[in-house]
Amino acid sequence: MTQGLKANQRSRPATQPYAGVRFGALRVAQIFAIAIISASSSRASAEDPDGHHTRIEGPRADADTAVGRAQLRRAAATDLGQVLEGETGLRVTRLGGVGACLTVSVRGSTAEQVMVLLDSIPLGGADGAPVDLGTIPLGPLAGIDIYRGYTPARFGVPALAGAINLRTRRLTAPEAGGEVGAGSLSTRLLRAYGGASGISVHFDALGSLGDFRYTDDRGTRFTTADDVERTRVNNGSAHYSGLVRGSFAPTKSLELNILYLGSSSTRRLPGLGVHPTQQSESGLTRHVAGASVELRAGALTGRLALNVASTESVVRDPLGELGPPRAKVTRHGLVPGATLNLTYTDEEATTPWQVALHAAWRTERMRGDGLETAARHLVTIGSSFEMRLPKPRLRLMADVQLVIAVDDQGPAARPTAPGDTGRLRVDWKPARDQQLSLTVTRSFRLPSLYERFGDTGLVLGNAGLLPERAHALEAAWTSALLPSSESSDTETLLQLNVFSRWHTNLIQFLQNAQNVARPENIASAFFVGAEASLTLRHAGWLEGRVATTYLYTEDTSNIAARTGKDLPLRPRLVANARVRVKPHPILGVALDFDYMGANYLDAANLVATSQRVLIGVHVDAHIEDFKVIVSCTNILGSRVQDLAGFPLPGLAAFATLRWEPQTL
Amino acid sequence: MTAGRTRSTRWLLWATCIALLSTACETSAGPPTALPPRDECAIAVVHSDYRSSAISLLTASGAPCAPDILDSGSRPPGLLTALSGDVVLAGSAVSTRSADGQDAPVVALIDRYPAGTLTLFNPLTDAVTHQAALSPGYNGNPQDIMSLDATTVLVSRLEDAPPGATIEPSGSDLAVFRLAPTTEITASGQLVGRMDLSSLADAGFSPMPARIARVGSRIFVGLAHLTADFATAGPGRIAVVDAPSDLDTQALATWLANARVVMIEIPGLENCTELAASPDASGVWIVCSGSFRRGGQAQTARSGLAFVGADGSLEAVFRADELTAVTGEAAPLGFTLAAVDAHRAVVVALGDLVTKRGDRALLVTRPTAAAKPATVAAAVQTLHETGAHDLGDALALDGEGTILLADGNPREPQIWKVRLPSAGEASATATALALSSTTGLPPRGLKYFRHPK
Repeated sequence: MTQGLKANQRSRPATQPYAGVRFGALRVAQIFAIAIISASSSRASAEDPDGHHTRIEGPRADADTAVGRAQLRRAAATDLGQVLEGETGLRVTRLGGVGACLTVSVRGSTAEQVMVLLDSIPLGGADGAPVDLGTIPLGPLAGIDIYRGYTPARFGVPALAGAINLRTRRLTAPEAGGEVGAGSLSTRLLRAYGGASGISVHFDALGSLGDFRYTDDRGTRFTTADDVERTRVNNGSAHYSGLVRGSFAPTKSLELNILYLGSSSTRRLPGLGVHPTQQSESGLTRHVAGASVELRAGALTGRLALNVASTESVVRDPLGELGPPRAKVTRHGLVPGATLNLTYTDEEATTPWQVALHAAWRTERMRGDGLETAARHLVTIGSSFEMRLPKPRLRLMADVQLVIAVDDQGPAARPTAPGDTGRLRVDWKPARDQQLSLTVTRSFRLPSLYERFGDTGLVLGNAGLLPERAHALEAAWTSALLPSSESSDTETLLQLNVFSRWHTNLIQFLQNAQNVARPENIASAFFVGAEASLTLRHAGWLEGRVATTYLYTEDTSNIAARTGKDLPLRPRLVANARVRVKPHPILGVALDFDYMGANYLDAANLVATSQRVLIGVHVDAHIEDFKVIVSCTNILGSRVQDLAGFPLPGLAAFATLRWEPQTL
Repeated sequence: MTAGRTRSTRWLLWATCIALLSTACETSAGPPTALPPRDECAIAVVHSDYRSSAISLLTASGAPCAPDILDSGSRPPGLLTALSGDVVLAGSAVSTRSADGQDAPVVALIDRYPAGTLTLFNPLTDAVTHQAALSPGYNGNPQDIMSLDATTVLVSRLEDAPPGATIEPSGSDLAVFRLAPTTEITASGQLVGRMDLSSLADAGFSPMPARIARVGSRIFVGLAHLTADFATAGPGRIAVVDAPSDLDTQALATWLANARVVMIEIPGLENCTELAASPDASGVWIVCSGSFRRGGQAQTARSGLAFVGADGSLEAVFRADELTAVTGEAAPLGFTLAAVDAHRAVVVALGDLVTKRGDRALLVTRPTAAAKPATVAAAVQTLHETGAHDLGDALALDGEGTILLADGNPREPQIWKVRLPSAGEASATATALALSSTTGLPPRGLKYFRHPK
């Protein structure tokens, strides 16, 4: 019988590369001249980097990669996935075209193992489900900080594989702008923003019908006689969001920040390509609010932040097209939290150093139809330390945190074991424009409330789950291939990373003979990877970036069908390139190339996908305060999908008109 | 280039080389050697971790005969994979007619969800001869097929098409498909007609037809009889219909429209999906698993085993709580069912993932002079124990007094050959057979695709 199978299926996603990256005014010589750890993300976001930065320079000195607003705005990107999928070590997976569910993994992780934050506020819901990046507006973002393999203690929430911190814009001078766009599949986009005196308001709307053509093979892979061409139906989406940001500095030593994001997403649920649906749909409403106060007194900086995030997800499947018929299934999550960071910096000493203490509290509460209410409290205590030695030119960094979880779940629940994370990193600058880094990390992910208490009849929670564990070793080399100088009009940057990771106690839902799924700590895995990127900018008319990620994964679980095999959905080789030339002061032309190697869809390594090449072309014209961008993606029309069952669109075009006056 | 840069470059190259070389350390398992000729293969095995599947063949005695003849990766993935993770074998042997008019036994694979397809594989030619979507346009969740002749099959489709769907009415039925004689996969099956079983369900429930078995001129169909959300089970029932006497198109249409369908209640039990014909054609065994949504004691109290004679008379009903308590903790019965003879059947007492209680394969022997249809005491012996929800199919070997038992323990998947205890013996003897698949996927399904002569 397959009574429970439909309800047990957990969506997993796909990739559709797009945007490239470039670095901005990079000067590796500044490596040791820039302030180190920033205790306040809001403060730093006022200094948005223009382009693409590595971790060796500021202003986001603790991030592995900082993507600037210029990069976010350069291409006609409609969602975060198009920005992130060009980054080394990241894989964006999609369930469809524009507006569809998309998640990100870091260095072969699952999406649940990646923390996504908005101005340091965790966006993850109480149920522990991965953050759907398709619901996050792109317009209000000033930049994105990417942490590969580790989450800094200052965030106060551990994550196994890394973090994506989305930084919002802070408008100081009077500023306003807008953007409208339209394209294939009835995609339409509207963005507007305005602000002054530290207060800004952003509005984003994105919608699409998603009605692309695809081949329905009816699930009969041994014959093409019954294949039919179909239009993807019931695949539309609409996303609306509003963001208000306030930033005030009444005195030089005091800064106040407030943030509110409200978003509403409605998606039709088209189902598998072989079984199109008619009426099923889902909705997600998210409210995120935060306030922080930062006080500086000499070398001491203190920051207190309060935040709350609530989500309400709704699934409607009145005809039972995706599972048992449900008129409406609602799930609520509420996560209030607080973070305190105290930082002492001695920049005047012969050996500059900094020490920071972090404390955080967070409560996760989940309830919904067919679910018992579950809640727990998390208390995190952490510390970070950094010291710079002039000779040899070393930078030492240490970061530790301890997390204690207390269930608020009644007597039946077992207490969660405390977990700890730690990172030790040494940077060495052997020559000008070069840096070597060695990092050792230990991290963990707490089992989510859904994994522990998510009893729905077809899924059984497992209160006895242990945290997932990871240990990692990483070496990095960053070099400006051409020596930097004030007179040179060519800038280059080469970055190489080699890493190994060991993941243990991995939680997976095991389906049994009666089609009931229960999470168990059954899996373990080993990862070895190498990431390389080369960035080039010449004379203001040429810029390009080539990036590649090699990832070897091995399932080390004690399961006969898996042990020694590749982890599914992890291509060994991913490469992308973007070249942009500016033949005329008002005209730019960019070419994207994205390659994804073959990978397995299943843990037993029986089903292999083909390799995939996606090519996109973008043309932009800039006339005074207006900019027009026309993009064509997937011009080869590749139909290789990432997940069995969910077709992806072929060639698509999108045009956008942007108005961004320099001054009001 | 500075000295520092040179040193760091070397260091980095070393690290990269080490990382790349580590990928070369892979292992591979060699295929079994000295396999018997293909015409000695008689039993098909489905190996699955519920994500992907592989099919292997055994001889009539259970020895490996053909490893991994077909799997989820036998064709590049399209919208779906060649085989999903929810593949079951037809409950009875199926033959098809090739283009030259010869009938040949085939391995019939029902890919239940999400594919909803039928795949027929000829083990002698190593080729898929037919593949058909059994519920095009929606997920019909087909459960079993039965050959009416070499070109016609009867399919039980468990789920209903969504109301208002722009497809033909379907689901909750027995559907008849014609298979075009062919040696190449160029055409799917053609739907001839359907027999709606909706009238067998109480209001608010669906009949949800599942396993099909034929005894003489009667066709028995197990019914889950659940609400559409699978949450609530109605009274346990099976359906009995007289087999068609003629299979030409007109006769089939008449049969589909006018056949008399009889409903048999299995008193006190629920979710009676699995049934197996007794080898002597004296009746069918039926296992009822109760409502999984209800779980625990409530499920166990509505789970059990029954025997219905070939004439449709209910001859015996055994409650699971009474059967399983004889050899251990009371537990509901799973979907496993093997009919050894008219008086003995093998079932599985389900384990529990939370309490770590394991699965137990039980041999149930019903008294020879049982009063009909009252509940009667039965003799119960434990044949094998393993982890919770690991046991798959059991298959009684023809005339051997032994069964094969699929043990899907993910760490140590195994097929056990269990010699059934004869009268007076206290315990059974189990022998682990050589694994017939190199994929490591645990065995789940075991069925004859042809009975040895």
